[in-house]
Amino acid sequence: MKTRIIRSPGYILILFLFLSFATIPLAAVEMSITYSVITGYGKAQELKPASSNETVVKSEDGQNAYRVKSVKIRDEAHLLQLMGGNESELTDLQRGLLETYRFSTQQKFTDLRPRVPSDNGSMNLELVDITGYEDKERYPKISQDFWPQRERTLSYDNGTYNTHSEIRISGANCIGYGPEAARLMQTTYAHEFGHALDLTSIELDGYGFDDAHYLNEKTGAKASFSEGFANFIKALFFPEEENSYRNSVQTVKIEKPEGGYDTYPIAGGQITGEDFLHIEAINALIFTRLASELPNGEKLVLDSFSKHQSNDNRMALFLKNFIKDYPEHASIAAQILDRETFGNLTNDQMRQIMGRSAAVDSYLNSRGGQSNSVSKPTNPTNTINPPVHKPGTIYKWKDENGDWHFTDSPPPNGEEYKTLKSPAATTSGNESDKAPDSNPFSVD
Amino acid sequence: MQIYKYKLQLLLTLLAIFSFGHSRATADQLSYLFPTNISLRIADSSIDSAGRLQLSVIIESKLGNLSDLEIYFDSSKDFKVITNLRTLKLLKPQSARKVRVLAIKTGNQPDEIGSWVKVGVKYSPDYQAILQAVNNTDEYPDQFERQRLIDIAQSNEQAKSRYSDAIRFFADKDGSKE
Repeated sequence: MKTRIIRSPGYILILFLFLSFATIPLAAVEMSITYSVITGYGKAQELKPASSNETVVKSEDGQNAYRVKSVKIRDEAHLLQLMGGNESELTDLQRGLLETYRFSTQQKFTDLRPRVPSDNGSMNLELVDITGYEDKERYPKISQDFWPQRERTLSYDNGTYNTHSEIRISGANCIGYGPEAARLMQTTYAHEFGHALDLTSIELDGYGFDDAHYLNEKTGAKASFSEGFANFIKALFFPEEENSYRNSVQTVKIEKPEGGYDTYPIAGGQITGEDFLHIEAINALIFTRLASELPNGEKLVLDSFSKHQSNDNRMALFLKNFIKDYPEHASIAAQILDRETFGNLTNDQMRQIMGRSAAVDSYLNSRGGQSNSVSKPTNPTNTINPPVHKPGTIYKWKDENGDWHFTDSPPPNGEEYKTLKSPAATTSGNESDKAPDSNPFSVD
Repeated sequence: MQIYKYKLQLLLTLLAIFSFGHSRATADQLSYLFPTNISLRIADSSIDSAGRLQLSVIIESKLGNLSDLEIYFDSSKDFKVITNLRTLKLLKPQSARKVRVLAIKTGNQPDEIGSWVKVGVKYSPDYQAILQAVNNTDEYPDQFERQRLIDIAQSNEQAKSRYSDAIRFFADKDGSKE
C-alpha cells in the first residue's frame, strides 16, 4: 500500500541559461486545460493510437500500455459533458477532476501566473480520468503510471525559446479516499502550481536513496527548499495544511543507506545548524510564518522569491536576500527562523544564515541562554517494542486530549476502549467469488 | 546574422543539456493509498447488427461489506442505456454480482472522446474494515501518514459519506474489452 505522492517536476528539461546571468522576466503565461481519458489497456506492442488525439502511454511494468484520448477543455460544461454530463453521477475521482478545474480558475491562481518564470511560456493542466482503472490488482502500476506531476519542457519556435509547464492531476494519489479525494486533488494542484513558480535545480541525490521524501525528512538543501516552497503555495489556498507541516516535525526522518529510515526527536541533536533548513516542513513553515506575521507578508515573500530565484535556491540564501530586501523585517524574520528551528541554531549560525545587521544582532542579544546549546544526539524514536498483535482485534480508544486512536493492542494507560469486529476480508460468508449467472439487466 | 542565430541555438541547447545533467526532477513525497473497496470489470460485450450494445459487468467487493449499492448508467450521446437503475442492499466480502446492460443507438453523433457506456456504483464502504486495514503497521509503517488515512476514514465515516466508482466501456475500442 506504500506509494508516492506528487511526482513533481518530473522529467524536466530546464532552461538555465537565463538563470546564470539574469533575473527571469515575469510575463503572463498562457493557461490551457486538457481532459484526458483512458480508453484502452493492453500489451504495449499491440496498442496503437486510433485517432490523432490519442496517445499510447506505456506502463512502468514495461509490458502494458494505456490508450489515452485528450480533448482541450472549453469550459466547465464541456468538461462535465465529457465525463457524462450529470454531476450527480460522477465518480469520486471524476468529481475531483471537476473540483480541480473549478479550483484552478480561481482569481488567486490568475494573480500568481505572472510569477511563473518564463520568457514566453505556457502552462497546461491535464485532468486525467482513470475511471475503471483504479483496481490495483488488475492495473498494478496505475498509481505510478498516472501519478500527479509537473513537467517543464523547453521548445524552440521561430527563433525563440519557450518554456512550457504541464501539470497532471489524475487522482491516482487519492484512490479509495471517497469524497475526500476532491479536496486532496485540489491541494495537489496547488502544490504542483507552486513548483511551476520555482526554478530550483534539485541535487542529483537530493531525495536520498529511495528517491521519495517525507514532509519531515532531512533531504538536500535545494530539494527541501523546492518542496517547502510548493507546500507554502499549497498553504496559501489551504491554511489548515500548516498544521500538518507542524505536526510532522515533532520528529525528523533520516534515511539509511541500507533502506528505511531512522526517526529522531526533532531537537534530539541529530540535526544541527543549517541542516534544520534541509527539512521541507520547516521551510514551508518559515515561508508561511513570514507571510502571515509580516504586514503584507505574502506579497513580500513572493516578491523576494521571484526577484532572487535561481537554480541554486535554498532557504539560507532566501532568508539572506529577504532581509536585504526588507531590512525593517529582519528582527521578525530572525524570530521566525529561531522558532521554527526550535532554538537550536547558535548565534553564529543564525548570523551565517541571515547575514549581519543591527536588527539581527539585537534579536540575538535578546535570546538569552537558549542559544549556543546543541543537544546531544539521541537514539532513534522508532526503536520501539514490537506491538503485541492480536489478529482480528482493533482497539478504538480516546486519549486524554480527546484524540481517537485505533491500535492493535489495548491502550497503554488503561483508557476505556471498544473493540472492532473481525477483519471483514477474512469473513468468507457463504457466497462464491465466482460471478453468478443472472437474468439479463438485473442484479442478482 | 543567421549563423549567430544557430550559434545561440546551439549554445542554449548545450546549456540546457548540461543543466539537465546536473539537476534532477523533484521526487515523490511518500504517501499511502487506501486499500481497494470495490472492483468493476467488464466480463463481455457485444454489438449486434442493429447497433444494440450488450455488456456484462462484474461488481465485486474487495474489502468488507459494501452496503446500499446504487448501480447507475450513463453514456455518450449516440447511445441510450435502457437498463434501469438497480439497487443492492449488501455485497459481502469477496462476493461478486453480474450486471447486464443494454444500450441502443440514438442516431446522434458520439462525443469528442467517442462512444461509451458508463456503469457506476454508489455505495457505503465498510469503514471498520478500512480502519482495520490501514491500522496494519506492516503495510503502513509511517505513523504520521497512517494517522492521516485513519483521520480521513473516520471523517468519512462520521459524515456517512458514500463512495462512487465506475467503469467506462468505449464501444469503438477493442482495448476496453477485457
